[in-house]
Amino acid sequence: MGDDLRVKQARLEAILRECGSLCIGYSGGVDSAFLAVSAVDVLGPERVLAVTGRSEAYPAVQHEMALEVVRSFGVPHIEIDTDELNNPDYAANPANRCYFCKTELWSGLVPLAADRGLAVVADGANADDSADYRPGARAARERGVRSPLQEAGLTKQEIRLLSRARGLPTWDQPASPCLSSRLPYGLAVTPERLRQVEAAEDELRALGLSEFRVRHHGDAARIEVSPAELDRAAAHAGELARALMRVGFPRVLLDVEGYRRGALNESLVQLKAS
Amino acid sequence: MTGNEDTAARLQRVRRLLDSAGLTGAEVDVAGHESEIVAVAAPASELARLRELAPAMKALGFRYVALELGAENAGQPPARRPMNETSRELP
Repeated sequence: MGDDLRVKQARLEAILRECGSLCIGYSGGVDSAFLAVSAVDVLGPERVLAVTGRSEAYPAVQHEMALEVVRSFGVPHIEIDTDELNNPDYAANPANRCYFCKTELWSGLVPLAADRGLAVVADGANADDSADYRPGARAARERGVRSPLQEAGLTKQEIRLLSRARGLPTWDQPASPCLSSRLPYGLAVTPERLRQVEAAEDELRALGLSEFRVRHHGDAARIEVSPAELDRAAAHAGELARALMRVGFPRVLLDVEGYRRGALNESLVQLKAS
Repeated sequence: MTGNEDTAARLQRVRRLLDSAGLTGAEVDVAGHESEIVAVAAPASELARLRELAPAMKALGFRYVALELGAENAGQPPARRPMNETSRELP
């Protein structure tokens, strides 16, 4: 571990001590898993609570990982139901959709933390996230939610390194945002579409692909796989098409450029440029 | 120029682009709720060549360039043209 990373880790520990006690919005992804385990390491389990907000947009495979981490590392954990799909502002799927989702989440967590005497509500945002389009961050700021990993200057790559050193199974887990992120802005988010996407991604996983997204475009599924796996995916074109048609997509497409994070934000970049 | 005419013109330019790259006869079509995808029905082995052509196709106003893998109504593709090789593996 380099000196810079040691300094950032020490900074994170100091931030957590300064917080005193913590209620963490916990998805079980790389960042929130590392934050939850670090908080328990520094503060002890009696001063930490990880809270998972569950809805149709939360992938089952992510839920399994979330439970594995809290069980293995002794992180106190509860789940709450969130109802963002019944909010028309969210379901219409505007570019700031995440704002409405996070508003729903933090509206549940902030009073919950107060009830339990936990001083700070925190999320797993990291230093890289400030460079991406993140309307959800606004909802966090409005409710006083802190981002200890970001405050410590830790990047995703550094969090992966520290997670590996701590023995976390999430260290090499691909990024896994909510299922609604697979729908282009403006295409309504419905439970049915989310179920189709989740089932389609389960099929791709079963075919041995590891990093991918199935984007729901209404009349078609557009598969993005990592550039390293593109040729393999193309070689199994027929299987992919059959698998996705089985789960209800009438048309199946393979993106020739492959998976890139925030691909659906490309439409926003084009709008800004025009 | 209406939206449909615009789309037809853009698809025609995509076809010319594919022709000039040696992919003569490849079927092209649009997909997506905003016609944001240009879908090319070509052999899967042409993926690398399509990747090279993607920036030029996106410059015509498409957000995404995709290889057509299959469709329920694949018997009546809207932009069918003769193709030397079988381009789709259908169920």
